[in-house]
Amino acid sequence: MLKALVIKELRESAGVVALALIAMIVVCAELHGIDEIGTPRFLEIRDRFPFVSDDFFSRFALVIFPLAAVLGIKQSAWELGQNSYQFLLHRPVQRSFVFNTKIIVGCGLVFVIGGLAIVAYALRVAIPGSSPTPFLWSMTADEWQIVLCALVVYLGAFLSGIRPAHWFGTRLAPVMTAGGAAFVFSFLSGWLAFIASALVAALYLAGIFYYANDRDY
Amino acid sequence: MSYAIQTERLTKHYGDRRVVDSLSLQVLTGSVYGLLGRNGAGKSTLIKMLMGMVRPDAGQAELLGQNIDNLSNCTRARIAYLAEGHPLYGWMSIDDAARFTRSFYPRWNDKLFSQIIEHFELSRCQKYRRLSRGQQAQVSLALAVAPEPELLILDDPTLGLDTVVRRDFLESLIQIIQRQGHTILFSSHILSDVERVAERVGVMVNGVLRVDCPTDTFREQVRKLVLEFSGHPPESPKIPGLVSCRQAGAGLELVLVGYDDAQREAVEALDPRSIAVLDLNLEDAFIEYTRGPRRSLPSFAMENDDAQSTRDQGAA
Repeated sequence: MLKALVIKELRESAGVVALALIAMIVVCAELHGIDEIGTPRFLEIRDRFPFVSDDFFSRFALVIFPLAAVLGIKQSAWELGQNSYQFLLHRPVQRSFVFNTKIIVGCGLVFVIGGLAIVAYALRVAIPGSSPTPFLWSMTADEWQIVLCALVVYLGAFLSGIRPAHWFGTRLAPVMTAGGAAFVFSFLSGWLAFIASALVAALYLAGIFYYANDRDY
Repeated sequence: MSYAIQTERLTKHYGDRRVVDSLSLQVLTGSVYGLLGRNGAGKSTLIKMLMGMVRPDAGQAELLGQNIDNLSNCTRARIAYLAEGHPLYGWMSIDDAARFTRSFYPRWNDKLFSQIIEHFELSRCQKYRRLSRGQQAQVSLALAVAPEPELLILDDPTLGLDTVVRRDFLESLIQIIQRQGHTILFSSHILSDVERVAERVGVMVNGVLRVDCPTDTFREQVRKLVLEFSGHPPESPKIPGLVSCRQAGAGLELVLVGYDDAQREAVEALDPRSIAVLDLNLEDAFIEYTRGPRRSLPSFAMENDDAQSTRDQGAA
């Protein structure tokens, strides 16, 4: 049952994930010095310091935040639109199990795609002579912090999708506030960002489970 | 005598509107119950409440002896539900849908599933979104009955199907009923479908269960009387059991529940020139019963008006 639910979630998220992966490949490829896909110049030494003063942070955020928002809304609101919750939610399984699975798969996808992009870029930077600085994994801390913030955006988006609302503006309120919170948290120092993100994530999770159990389908 | 479905004063509001109003219903185990009602009568909301898709504002309900608020997974596995429009994941093939659904149930009769799919001449690798509406209904039915549920709840399962597919669907449903002795609750707009399958009917009007009786009793109880008067017919006669009263020229059409001596005397007291008592089939009985009080029909071709109109034309 768990396997079937996970496969369903992965299959339904495949389109969004594929787009995000393409965007991440483009970002990494450009920063790696590939002008056009297929013509790599891997050993070119660039002027900027990877992870420290290049564009990876901002471009990474520009991909991971929309991915988190779209994935969260897709996983929650799409089923409402298709009426397929009526096929799924009367099955002999607790409703919380269905939503837990959705959220774990969604968070996992955001984490894996973000992580893959960071690791792929880091491995390139770690090649001796490829960048004007030594590489340390601690240099990637800001990007991992963005992944953490993206999880907050994901949960806000999921809440937007599942929460009943009278009009578009109020429906999008959770994802908008999550975006704002994530933006602020991305400037906080490591542990502070972690604690703030965890607190907001817990609030969103409580909201998701409240509406998932209480709302009409 | 045990009940597969029991509700007690089940109520649901949408905003200010009470869509299901203190509904108490009992469906005997092993019976087939047809739930009738016009659009917006509250049938789907009632079924969704039973299935836990909609939360009741008041009242309680039990399915297979367990309160719907805390149905165990074990009890859920004994209940199948076909939602209106047969929602399923369009990207799934019939095989994918079977694999997905099977993973939730402790029992799965793959032979029965295959028999139904083969009976409807469907290919198991067809994508659900590429199937016609009728075929989607057939797949939904196969998926619903394969776990061998004891209780089958169907929300307007033949909605939007053409006559042939509908007939085929119902034939299959009847076979399934006969084969496994399910308890079935199904809602429908199509009275002939209900007539073919249901032993007992409930009629919902504006969220209230107005009728709950054997199908034959409902058909026999609702009577239409056409009264002809010499002069102008009375506007609102006081007759016990009167459902609706419609004035058409010098005639008065009354719909009554039951037609006993007391009602006959009350009708005769109106002093009509003639009384015709019409038998109704289930569809007519349902229409007359649920149409409710209406304003009188307009008189389009009164003699005096015609004469006036002719005079006007001549003057022109």
